[in-house]
Amino acid sequence: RGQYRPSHQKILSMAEYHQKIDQLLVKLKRRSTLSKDLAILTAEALLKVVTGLKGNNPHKMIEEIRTIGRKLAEAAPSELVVGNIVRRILFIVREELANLQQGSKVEVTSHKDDDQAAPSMLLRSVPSLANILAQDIGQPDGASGGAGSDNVDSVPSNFKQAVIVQIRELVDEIEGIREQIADQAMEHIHANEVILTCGQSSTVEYFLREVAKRGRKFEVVVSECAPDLEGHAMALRLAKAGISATVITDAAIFAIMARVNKVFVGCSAVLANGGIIATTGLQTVALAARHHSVPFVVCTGMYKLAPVFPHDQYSFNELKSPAQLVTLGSDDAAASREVRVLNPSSDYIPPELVSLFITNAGGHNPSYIYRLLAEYYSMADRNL
Amino acid sequence: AQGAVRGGGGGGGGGSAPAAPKSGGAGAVAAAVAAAVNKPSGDAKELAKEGIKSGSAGIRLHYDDPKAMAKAKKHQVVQRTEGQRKVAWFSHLPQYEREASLSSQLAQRADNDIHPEVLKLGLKFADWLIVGGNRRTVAMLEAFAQVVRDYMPAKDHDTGADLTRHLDARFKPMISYLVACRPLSVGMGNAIRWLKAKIAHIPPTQNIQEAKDGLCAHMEGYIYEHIDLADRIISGHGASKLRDDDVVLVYARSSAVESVLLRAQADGTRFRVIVVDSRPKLEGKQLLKRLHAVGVDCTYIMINALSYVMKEVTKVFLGASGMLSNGHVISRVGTATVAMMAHTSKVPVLVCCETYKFSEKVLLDSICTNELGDPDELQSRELSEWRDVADMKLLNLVYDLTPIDFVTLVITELGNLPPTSVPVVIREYRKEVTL
Repeated sequence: RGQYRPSHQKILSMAEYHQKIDQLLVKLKRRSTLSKDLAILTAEALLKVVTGLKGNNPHKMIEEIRTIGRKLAEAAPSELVVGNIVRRILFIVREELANLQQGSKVEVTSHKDDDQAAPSMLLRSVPSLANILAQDIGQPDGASGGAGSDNVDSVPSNFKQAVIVQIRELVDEIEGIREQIADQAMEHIHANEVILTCGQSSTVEYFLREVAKRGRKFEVVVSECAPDLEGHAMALRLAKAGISATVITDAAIFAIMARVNKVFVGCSAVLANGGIIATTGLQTVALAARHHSVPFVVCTGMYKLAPVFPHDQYSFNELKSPAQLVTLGSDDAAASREVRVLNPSSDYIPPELVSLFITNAGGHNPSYIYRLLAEYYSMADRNL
Repeated sequence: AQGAVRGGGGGGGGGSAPAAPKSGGAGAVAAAVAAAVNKPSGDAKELAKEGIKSGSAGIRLHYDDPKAMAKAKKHQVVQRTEGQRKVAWFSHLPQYEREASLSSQLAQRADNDIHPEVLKLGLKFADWLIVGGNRRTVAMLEAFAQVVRDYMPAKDHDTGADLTRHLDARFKPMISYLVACRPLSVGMGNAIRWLKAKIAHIPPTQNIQEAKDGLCAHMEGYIYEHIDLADRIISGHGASKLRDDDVVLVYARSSAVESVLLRAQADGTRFRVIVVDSRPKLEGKQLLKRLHAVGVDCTYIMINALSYVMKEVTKVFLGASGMLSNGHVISRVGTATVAMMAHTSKVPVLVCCETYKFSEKVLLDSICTNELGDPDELQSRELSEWRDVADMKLLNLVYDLTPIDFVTLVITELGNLPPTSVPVVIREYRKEVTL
C-alpha cells in the first residue's frame, strides 16, 4: 500500500521529463549549442527528473539520474560537459544525503554507533584510506547510498527539496561564470599589451571586453580558425566594443607571435591531468607560444572540468565533414575519391603547454587541477 | 661611375675607384665591381664594405622613413593608393590597396619608358597570376631579355659601353615598376644584381649586336643553370632521401618540392603525401592536383589539423623563397608553423632551395622582412563590411621566417647542406658573381 502510486500521475511526470530529455538529446546530436548552454540545459533536464520523482528515495534518485545521464552522455560522447554536469548533480545528491544523514545520526545516536557517523563525515571531505576502505567493504555510509532498507526511514522529507535548491544554485553558478572570470581580467591584461586569441570563445570575449570597459587600452590579434572562420565574428564584436582587433590567418600565428605578449583562449573541456581539449589548431598556437616564451592562458568555468584522462590526440576527437575543405562540383582534386580529407574538430593540449587557468574558482596552475576533482565529483561516479 | 667603368674595362691602370656614388643601385654596383677589379688582390674587408654600401644586402627602402620616402617619390614610376587600414607592426613595409587599374597610374615622364613586356609582367605580378619564386624570376628575366633584344642603338652610339650606359638607365624605372606592382622576392633581387653586374661587365669596345646577343645568352644560361638544372639536381637529391613507406608532409606549393615528389614517384618509391594548406591562397590544392594526377597517395588537411596527423609523418619537405645568412628560411607564411610542429615531434625537416635564392641578409623574425597582401582576401561573409568598423584590421601576411633550429637539412644543387652552410655557399660560390 505504501508503494502504490496513482498510474496517471506517474505517466504525466515521466512524459514531462522525457520531453525535456528528448529535446536535449536532439540538441546534443545536432551539436548546435555552446558548452555553457549545454551545461544549463543538462542541469535543468536533470532538475526536472528530480522534481518529477515520487518519494524521497535517494537510491532511486541516484539511479534515475545515472540512467538519464548515461543516455545524455552517450548522445554526444565528445561533449564532456554533459557528463560533468551529471556527475556534479550526483555529487550534490550524495553530499546532501551525507549532510542530512549526519544531522539525523547526531539526533538518533542511541540507534547507531558513533563510528558509523565518523566515516560518513570523512567521505564528504578529503579522500583518504578510510573512505576507500569503507567503500570497498561496502559499509553502510552516506556517500555511496548504503542499504536500501534504512534509507527510506532515515532520510528526512526535505531531502529532495535540498537537492533541488542545490541544483538551482548550480545553474546560477554556471550562468554567472563569465562575470566571475571577467572580474580577474584587470589583473592579467595591462596597458598596450598585444593579446592573441583564437577563434570564438564567449568567456574570453567577455574577459577582454571587461578590461576595455574599464578604460585600459590594449590590442587584440584574432586568429580566424579555418575552416569555420569563427575568429571573424569574434574580431568584429571586439572591434565594435572599441578594442583594436586585427584578424590573421592560422598560418600567420607563428609569424605574429614575435609581437604578442599573452595568449588567452577558451576550451571545451579541462581534463583531470590539467590538459585541455580545445578547437583544432590550438596545439600549434600553444607550441608557438612556448617557443616565443609567451604565456598561454586558458579562461574557463570549472563546470568544464572532466574526471577523465587523455591518452592521445584521438581520445576525445571527432572528424567533422570534409565538405568545408572541398569545393564540390569543380575540378578540385581534394574532392576525388582517392584523396583523404581530414577535418578534426578538437586538439588535446598537454598541461606542460598551459601557463595558467583562469576560472570562476580563481587562478590555478595546471598541476593543481586534479585536486579540484574532489571538490566537484565523487569517486563512485567516475563511470556513469 | 661611368668613368670608373671605362677605366675598369680598360684593364687596370690609373684612377682609384671613386667613392660610393649617391645615385641608384646600378651605378653603385658598377663602382663596387670596378673597385674590385682595380684591386687585384681583392682585399676582403674593402670588398665587404663596398658590398654593404652598395647594397649586397639590398638597398631596402623603409617605408616609415619620411626622408627616404620623400626622395623615392621623386623617382616614383607608379602611383599606388596607400592602404586604408595599415597595420602598425609593418609600417616599414609597403601596404597598398589593390588597384583597379595599375597601368593607368603610371607617371607620365620622359624617363618613364616601360617596355610592354615588363608592363604586362607587372600587372600579372600584381594580380598574383604568376606565383612562386622560380616562376617569377624566370618570367622577369625573359621579359628583360626581350627588353635587351628590342633595344635600338642611336647613331654613333653602338659600342658595348653605350649599351651598358643605356641599359642601366632603361632598367631602372622598369625595376621600380615591378617593385611597385609587387615587392621582389629574394631570388629575383639576386638575379637583378647579377644582371646589373653582367651589364656593367660588357666589353666597352664590343659590337653592340654581339653585346646584346651575349647578354641574352647569359640570361638564358642563368635561368638554365640556376633554376632548371638546379631543380633537376635537387629533385634527384631529394628523391634519394625518400624510402618506401615514407609519409611525407608538404606545405602549400613549392616547385622544388613538387619536382622532388614527382621524381620519387617516377623512380617507383612507394610513399604517401600529406598536403597541408591554408587560407587565403589555398595553394596546396594545386600541388594536390598535380600529385594526384600521377597517382600519389594523398591526404589533404588545413594547417590547424597538423597536430592530428603529425604522429604518422616521417619526413617534412618544405620549399623556400629565400635563405638568409643566419640560416633562417623565408618561405610562404605557415611554413614556420609546420617546421615547428615537425621539430617538436622529432621529424626531419628538409628544405629544398636553389642557391640563387641565398641572401647575405641576416634577419631575426617574420616582422623584419615580409610582404603584405591584399587584406580583402581574408574576407568572409561576416567581414564583408569590415572597413566600416573603425577598430578592425585585416592582416594578410605572405611570408614568414623559419628559425634555423627547426631546419634539419637544406637540399641544393650543390648537395645536401646543413642550414649553417648558407653563408659558406655565398662566400665560395658567389664571390665571383660578377665574373
